[in-house]
Amino acid sequence: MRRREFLGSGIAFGGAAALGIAFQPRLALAQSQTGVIRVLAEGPPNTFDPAGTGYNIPSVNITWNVYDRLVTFGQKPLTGPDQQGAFIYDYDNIVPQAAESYKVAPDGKSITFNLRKGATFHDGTPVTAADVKWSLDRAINVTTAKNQMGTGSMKDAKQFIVVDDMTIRVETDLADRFTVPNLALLFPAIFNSKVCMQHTTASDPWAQEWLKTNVAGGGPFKLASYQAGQQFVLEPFANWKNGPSKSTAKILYQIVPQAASRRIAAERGEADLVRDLPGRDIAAMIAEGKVKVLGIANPSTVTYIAMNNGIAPFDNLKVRQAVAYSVPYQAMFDAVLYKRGNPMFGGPAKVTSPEWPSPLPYTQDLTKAKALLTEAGFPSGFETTFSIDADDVTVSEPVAILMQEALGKIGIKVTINKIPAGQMGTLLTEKKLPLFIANAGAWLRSPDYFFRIFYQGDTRWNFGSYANPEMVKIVADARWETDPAKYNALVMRMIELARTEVPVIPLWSAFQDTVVSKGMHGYTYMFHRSLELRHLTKS
Amino acid sequence: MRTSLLKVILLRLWSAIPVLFGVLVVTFVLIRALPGDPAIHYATSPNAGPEEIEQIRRQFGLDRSVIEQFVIYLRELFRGNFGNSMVTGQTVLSDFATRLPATIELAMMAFFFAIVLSLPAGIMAAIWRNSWFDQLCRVVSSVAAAMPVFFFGLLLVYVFYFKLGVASEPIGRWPSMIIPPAPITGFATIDTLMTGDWELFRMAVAKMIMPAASMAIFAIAPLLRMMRGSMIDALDSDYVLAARAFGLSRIRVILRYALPNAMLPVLATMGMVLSTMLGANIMIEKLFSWPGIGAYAVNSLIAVDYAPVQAFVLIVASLFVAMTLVIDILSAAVDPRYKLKR
Repeated sequence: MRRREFLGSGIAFGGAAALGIAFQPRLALAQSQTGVIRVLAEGPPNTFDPAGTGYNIPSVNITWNVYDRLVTFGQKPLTGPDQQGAFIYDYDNIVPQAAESYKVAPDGKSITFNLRKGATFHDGTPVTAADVKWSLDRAINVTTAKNQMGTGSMKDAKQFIVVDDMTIRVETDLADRFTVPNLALLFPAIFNSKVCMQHTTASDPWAQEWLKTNVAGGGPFKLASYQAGQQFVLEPFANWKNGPSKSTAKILYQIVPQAASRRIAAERGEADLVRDLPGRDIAAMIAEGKVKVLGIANPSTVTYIAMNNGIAPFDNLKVRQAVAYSVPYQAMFDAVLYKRGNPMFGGPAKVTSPEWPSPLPYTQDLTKAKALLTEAGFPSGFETTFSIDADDVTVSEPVAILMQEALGKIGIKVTINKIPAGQMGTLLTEKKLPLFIANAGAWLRSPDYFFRIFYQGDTRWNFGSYANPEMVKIVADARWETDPAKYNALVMRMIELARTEVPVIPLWSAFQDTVVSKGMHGYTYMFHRSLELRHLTKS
Repeated sequence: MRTSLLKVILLRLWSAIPVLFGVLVVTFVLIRALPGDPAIHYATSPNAGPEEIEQIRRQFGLDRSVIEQFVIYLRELFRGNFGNSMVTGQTVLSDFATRLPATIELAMMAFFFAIVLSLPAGIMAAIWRNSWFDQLCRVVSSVAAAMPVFFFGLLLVYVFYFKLGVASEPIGRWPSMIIPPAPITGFATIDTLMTGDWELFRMAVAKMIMPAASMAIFAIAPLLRMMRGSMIDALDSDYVLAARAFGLSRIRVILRYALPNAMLPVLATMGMVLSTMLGANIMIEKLFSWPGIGAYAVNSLIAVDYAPVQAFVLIVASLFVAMTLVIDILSAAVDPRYKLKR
């Protein structure tokens, strides 16, 4: 009798599993439809406000596509062997978006934007100069955006002048090559000011609270549904007039925290775009050859081993050079990154062009490293800690272990210290870490901009806490230099300093790998690394 | 009898208030004692300097004293405002409204699997002590206890989804290309039944099978062992001997006399197991992209996001209080010797 009961429960369990089997056919059917592009990524967005406090990278997937900006970057085709049919943004070609056209005055101090006739927000109200003015005013006032806008000389609401309903002029004190590119970044998105103003309060004059969970834009996509931490759906805005848009498919963006689950879905062809896969998975998938992988490097994103130049012993130039000569670059590049990037090591000995980031001359040379360390007064080495972000262990941890091993050979004892993401920012800002891994990119491509952020100043982005008066001076000189020859000379000197003084050791510029399904066309890489959806089509 | 039960419930709930308040204070202080400054963590703009960080700190109210922050927090809590999540951008309350049903639904199914498998097996192992079946149960429970839940889940995914292709995709609660219906209660099963969408109901259930089975694995060992042990004690007792001597049928002896007496420790274990399933299944939630509260709380903790973590601890503590109460009441109903503590 007991045995029969047991059998019964066994049958119940088996039956439940059998139900699972029976449910499959409709799924296979659903996937063949071309009306939905399914995206799988790791992290959830945390705001709908392009300049929201604490906005994260996944949120850009929404904000970039539901809002327009006055201007945007054009696209150019990629030429790599595995990159056929894909595009990258063209920093040197800034095209009108919400503006129909724009004109820079001969003295460079004012830019006039003519808005596009007939363009509307998602709710149907026309886009006017008043909306643009409100949006730009907002960008120079809210905490997250205002410093960035300042790098383009936009600091005061008086600089944004409404000429008439469809024309707005931006004025700057000096002709600034960063004004127009800054208007193409995330923050100066164009809001429907009439709607936003209904949700402002005395303590919140820019509707930040409301825009965190609401969209008031006119971009190529509308936010159709949103389930926090799970997924969102974007659907094409039929009346979008501000540029070429081919996409007719809905975008189903799902958050799948586990890399293994994303990889399985990619291999089974059940997703159209799969992102955030570790190099090991990507290398294995390429080797199997069943899926198409687009590996695109952002030329201005670099991974570094950073040394704190502000504290001993890394304030000593010879110690830094010794560390730079002891890094097992090639082993890291092959075994940790699986070659998914462009190397920043083993470059020519002399600076030949003002192009940056470009490879430094270092390769691993332990004899030289040992000699430099002895010269620096540490013949028997020293002890230090190497800090990594606990959220980024797939790359950081093996890099740290290889560093520990290599530095051990020249007498430097390294303890690896894993730090939770929440603390990492604090420690970086307080400049307390002696040796760590950092990864960051610049949105604007000019080299002087890059050096201004990463090689001087007191923000956390100056990872090396590098404080060389000469660097500070030439970076300041290059800011307003209009003569290309002089500018290039200054940049080459900056590169020279970055190479010889190695405040930070660039390792590589990693690819952003995206697995795309066979039917996807028009994939475009944008400077912010999130998705530019309007060029995507599915067949 | 009924009024006294009601009284016990009310008294218990009343006495839970200081416990919950204690939990509130401890979480509030502890999370602020963690290293990591939210103001810096959320100063994500590319040119964030000290001035911007200060501004964000003011915006979050973190420039005030901890006491002041606590008073504000309590006041808002009384108004039913749990604060906002920086990780999802939504209010904490709405996050829990969507995630708690997902967690409960999955935990219930896993709990059901675990009970249906382990209780009958435990009883039979006790009846046929040291038989091949008992030995099999011992092996199964040892393996189940030793195997990480996560690993079992991966194994299931690999075999049933990747290799055989019979199970549904291990991602979320809904089939891949279907844009899910707007939630009514938040329970996928109840919602689909309410709208009468049988197809979607079956698909939602199918989605739960693999994660629920992986979760059930860890509950099998304690339940099975506990059931077997206490059933052996009951079967060896004098009253069972007496019942048999009276010539009662074997089934009657087992079901009427031995089982109720053996259930007490099993009920307590069931309470523990269910609480764990509700509060701590982060690995399963991550593996199956299940939008539950465990992974949510951990993500918030990593991102130094105070409000959701506080709410999570408070809600889970409330669930534990409620669960203990239910188990106590059930125990009293099953065994008259068990006195409800006031």
